[in-house]
Amino acid sequence: MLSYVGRRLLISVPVLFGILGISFIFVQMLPGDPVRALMSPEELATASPEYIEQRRSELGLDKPIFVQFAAWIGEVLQGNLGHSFRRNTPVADMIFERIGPTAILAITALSIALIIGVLLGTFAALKQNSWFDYLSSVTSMMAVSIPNFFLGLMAIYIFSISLGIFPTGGMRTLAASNPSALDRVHHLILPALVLAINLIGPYVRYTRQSMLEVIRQDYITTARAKGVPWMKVVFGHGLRNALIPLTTVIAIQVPILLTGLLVIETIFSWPGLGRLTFESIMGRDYPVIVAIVFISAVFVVLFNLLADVTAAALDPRIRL
Amino acid sequence: MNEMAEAREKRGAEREPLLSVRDLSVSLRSDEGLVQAVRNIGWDIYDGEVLAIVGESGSGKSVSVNTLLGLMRQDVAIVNSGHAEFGGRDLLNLGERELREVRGKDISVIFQDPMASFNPVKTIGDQISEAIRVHDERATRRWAWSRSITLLSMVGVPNPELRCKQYPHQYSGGMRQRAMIAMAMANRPRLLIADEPTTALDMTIQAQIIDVLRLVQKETGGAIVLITHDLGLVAELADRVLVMYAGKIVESAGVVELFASPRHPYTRALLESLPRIGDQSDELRSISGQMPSLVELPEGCAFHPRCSLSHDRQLCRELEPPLQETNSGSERLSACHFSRELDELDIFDR
Amino acid sequence: MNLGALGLAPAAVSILIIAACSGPNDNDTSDGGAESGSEQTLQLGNPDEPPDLLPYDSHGGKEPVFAAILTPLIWVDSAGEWHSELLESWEVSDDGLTVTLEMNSGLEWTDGTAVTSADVALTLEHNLDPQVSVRAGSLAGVVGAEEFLSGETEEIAGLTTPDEHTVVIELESPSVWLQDMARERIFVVPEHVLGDVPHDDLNDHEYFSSFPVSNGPYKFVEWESGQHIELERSDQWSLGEAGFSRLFIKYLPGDVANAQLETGELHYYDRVDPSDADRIAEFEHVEIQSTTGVSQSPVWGLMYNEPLLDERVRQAMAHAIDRKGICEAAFNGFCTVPETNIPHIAPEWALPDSGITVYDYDPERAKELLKQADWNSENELIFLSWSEPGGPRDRALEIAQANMADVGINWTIENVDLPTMNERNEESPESFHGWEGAGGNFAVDPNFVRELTACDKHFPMGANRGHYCNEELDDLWSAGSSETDQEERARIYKDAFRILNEDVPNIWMIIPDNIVAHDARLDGVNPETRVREIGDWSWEE
Repeated sequence: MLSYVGRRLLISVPVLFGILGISFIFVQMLPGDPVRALMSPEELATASPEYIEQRRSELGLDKPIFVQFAAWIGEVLQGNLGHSFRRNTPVADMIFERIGPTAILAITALSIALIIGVLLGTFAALKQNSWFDYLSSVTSMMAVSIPNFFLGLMAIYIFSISLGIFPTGGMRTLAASNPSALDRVHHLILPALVLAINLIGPYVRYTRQSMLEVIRQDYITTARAKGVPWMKVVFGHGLRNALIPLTTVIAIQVPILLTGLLVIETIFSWPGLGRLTFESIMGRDYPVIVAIVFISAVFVVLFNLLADVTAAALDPRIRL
Repeated sequence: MNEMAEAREKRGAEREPLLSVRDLSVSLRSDEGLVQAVRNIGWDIYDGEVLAIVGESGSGKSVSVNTLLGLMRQDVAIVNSGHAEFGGRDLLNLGERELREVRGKDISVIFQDPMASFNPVKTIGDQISEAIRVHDERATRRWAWSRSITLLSMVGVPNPELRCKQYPHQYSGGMRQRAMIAMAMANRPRLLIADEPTTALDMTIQAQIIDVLRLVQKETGGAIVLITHDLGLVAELADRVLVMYAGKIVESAGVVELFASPRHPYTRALLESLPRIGDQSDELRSISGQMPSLVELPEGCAFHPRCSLSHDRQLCRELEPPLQETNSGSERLSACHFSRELDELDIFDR
Repeated sequence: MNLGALGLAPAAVSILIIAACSGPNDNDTSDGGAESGSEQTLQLGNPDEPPDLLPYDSHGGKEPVFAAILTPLIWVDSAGEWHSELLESWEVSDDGLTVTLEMNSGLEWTDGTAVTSADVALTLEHNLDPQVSVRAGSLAGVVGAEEFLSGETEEIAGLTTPDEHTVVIELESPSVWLQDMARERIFVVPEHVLGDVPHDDLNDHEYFSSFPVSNGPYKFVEWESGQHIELERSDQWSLGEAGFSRLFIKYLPGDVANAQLETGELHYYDRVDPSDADRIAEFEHVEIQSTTGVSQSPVWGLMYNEPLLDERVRQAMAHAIDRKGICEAAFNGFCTVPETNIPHIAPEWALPDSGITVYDYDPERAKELLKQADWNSENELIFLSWSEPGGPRDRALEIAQANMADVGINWTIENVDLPTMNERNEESPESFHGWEGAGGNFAVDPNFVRELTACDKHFPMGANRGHYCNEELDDLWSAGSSETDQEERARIYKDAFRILNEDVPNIWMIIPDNIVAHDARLDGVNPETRVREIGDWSWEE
């Protein structure tokens, strides 16, 4: 297993570098000049061309693109992922600052989605063609179809404004000088739930389908014939088998999770990578965009690897 | 209808049957409609006895047994009528919880396909241990594990300590079936149901498994219901045989009498289809025609369209024959209007 | 593997992370403290988080921060009135070549140092350097600045401080330098901290990440990237006492701001969408105030190319657009309509009051003009828009598009973002015919309109995106900026604006009102000045 993981990671290295190169080129192809993108229309009206040229040369934008690429790769190899155009700091610092909140939000949302999705899917399979089954299919389909920005605003409207149960955004209460852990969880729940809702649908669908196949299997009858209680049969024997194909689904959904973060973090003022992405694209902050694309690629690669490892952990027939 | 009641009374109740099935009818939902899988059958099994239930696939032999343990899918199988008395209780009237206590403890099942019947993601040791612990709250994990090792060694699995830690896919087919038998006997059940226990195995392995089953019976002293379409296995193991056709028992006899002189044209056809030593033909004989659809059964005797004896007689077409004694006072039962004609037609060169 | 653990583990992990982040001493639920604390806390909202806190440009997200911690040299309100807490007087000599700034005494930095003319001079020096400041272009023309910037001299000859209270600026030629400077709203930086810092190092200087020394009503505490900037009351503020012990400027999008206004998590927001204004006004404890704005937005900008070269076509467009209707439909009535197409791009004294065309909504007149100009209704025109989809500007542009289609002028609106529009404008100005513009505050001096219209100010050299050019007008701009006689200036500019009224280089569609939403208990809020007087705000008694 360890050698497999090592091998997979080694194979990923050229892939990731390829992604780096391609994303660098694509980002360069974005229309619009990073210097002007930072200026308001009013400033643009009065900024002298010298100022703009000066800024461009400070950022190295006046050099040929391959020189820029070489300089940037040099920065990447030093581990700081380049320098931000907008803020005068290494990109690595900016990402490091934001990755924690994003990880907390993403992991919580993923966990919520998994727990709810797997439970709903399992019970839908057990009660195939019942009202519960139909209801869970329809609601999970709806959950996938509702755009998450709408869902986010609805959630804010209902839970924050009308009911006043949750705060509308941010990571902590500002007035409290020393916010408690509880306060942070309180701020986390709503964005995590909204993010989770978009993920639940596929989990329900795949768990249900997988579970339907599994509970028809002979070993389920065997377990019942041994006298094992039904729920123990389902969760002890069925679920683990049903989860094996789900690992792949989770890995495939990682990009959906990442785009969801982009929207949800913006709506809920969550200071994570998603918001940074949004701001960086609007500001044509090339180094940050490329770095985020790169980090996302790393995430996708890692999650796929994790999916394989998890599948192997769940299924002894798979050897890594 | 209770065809066997009379016969049983005649035989005399010198001992109580271990399991007594009466008037069992089961329908299955299918896309074509309701399938009359089991129609008003009844049978008894006694301690220490090996009862074989024989029939083609679809004859209802597995359904009739799985129904007793509530192992049929509830959305598919409907028990229309029946009683199954076991240890003073009617299995068909037990709640899920009570039935669960019977399953795997008093009555165990050995399934046909040992590959599919083991959970692929759990070790064999875990699965045998589970069978033990689910019926014995006091059994510790460690104790159940060591008992699993003992059971595996009893059924002839070499190196059982290691084998316990292995997964089903690491076992060969024969070893898996041994492990399945070990799991079934974990709680020394009084009744073992072996559902096509050798079908998925090749010939040499079959013989070994038959030996293991014999051993198990000797060990537990319990009874075995052997569900099979393999008459060779029946001859090897069974004491008594029920022949099922289209959801009904068509013949019941001791194993020797049955092979010597079948009293139902279907049984005879089954025996004829057996390959015989000295037979020059490579052709496998089979019974001509197909089993009728159990959704729309023919009028009269269900076997009459395929029957070599019926000669399209009106009685066969119109009246379904009851299961009755072939000779008065005999323990042999047959459901054929013209079972006596089979005496005259002794086609066996034995 | 235990399945329950499999699912729950990640959730447990993330909860642990949160717990770990929040430090060891927060077992208390902190509710009681928070309540009394929140009374002393003011929370402002802003949609644009600034990329940095360098005071050398006018990023919209920086304004509230600087308004709270620093002091501007001078500022001009929407009525054209000049204000300064720092300056006692500002004067231009009769020849227009010398600007003298006299300072108030008494204002101090938080470390006790007096704010002096040296601070002002350093601030101006920074702002004159195009490497440092975006304003260098509009402040150009100071004697000796070029020599200083090229390294020939150590100081700017034309920027002197005769004493602690006086700054003298000498100009190369008579110009509206002081007006330019006033319009820029320059915040003064401390000379005793930054005086020895080479200009190249200013961007990275740690002063701008922590502001250890400041002179406004509040002090900088911390910037939580992606979240907020936290400030606290400065006890050393010499102009009064700030009303709140703590102040948060939160960066959040408009929808969230509305929600937080309603829940009371936000006390002030000045980017209210006019279509939300009525709803927000109904929130309990929230008050809406509005005032006539100064900036035009959106502007239907035109390219000075075929087929738009004939001024009758451009006049027809101005007549075709139902600006009053747009004001009602897209801006909910929170706006002013510049029907002569020139007010609000200059101070009142420079605008002609006679001999100008009123471009009221008149489709018949538009058709007539088009007919005279032999307009071909088969022409397909492309308009570049960068406004937020569904927002008031976007709605306004769509209505205008439909209005013009009614008279036979067919536009296709292409949605791009601002950087993309700039690039198209620079690299392929012939690939489109119209562009969305947004103006700034032009009420300080009419000379600013030059930036938008002069032949040598074609984008990207200036803000003349449409590449409009009228030499007669250019002559008037030159004459006006060097004329020192006020009456003569007014006459010159009136002529200039008559030309603009006639030529219609762009269509000034709407001047949106400033709409401010704030907690009803908040005292001192003025939609006119927005956050500029934040030091005077407090909870109502």
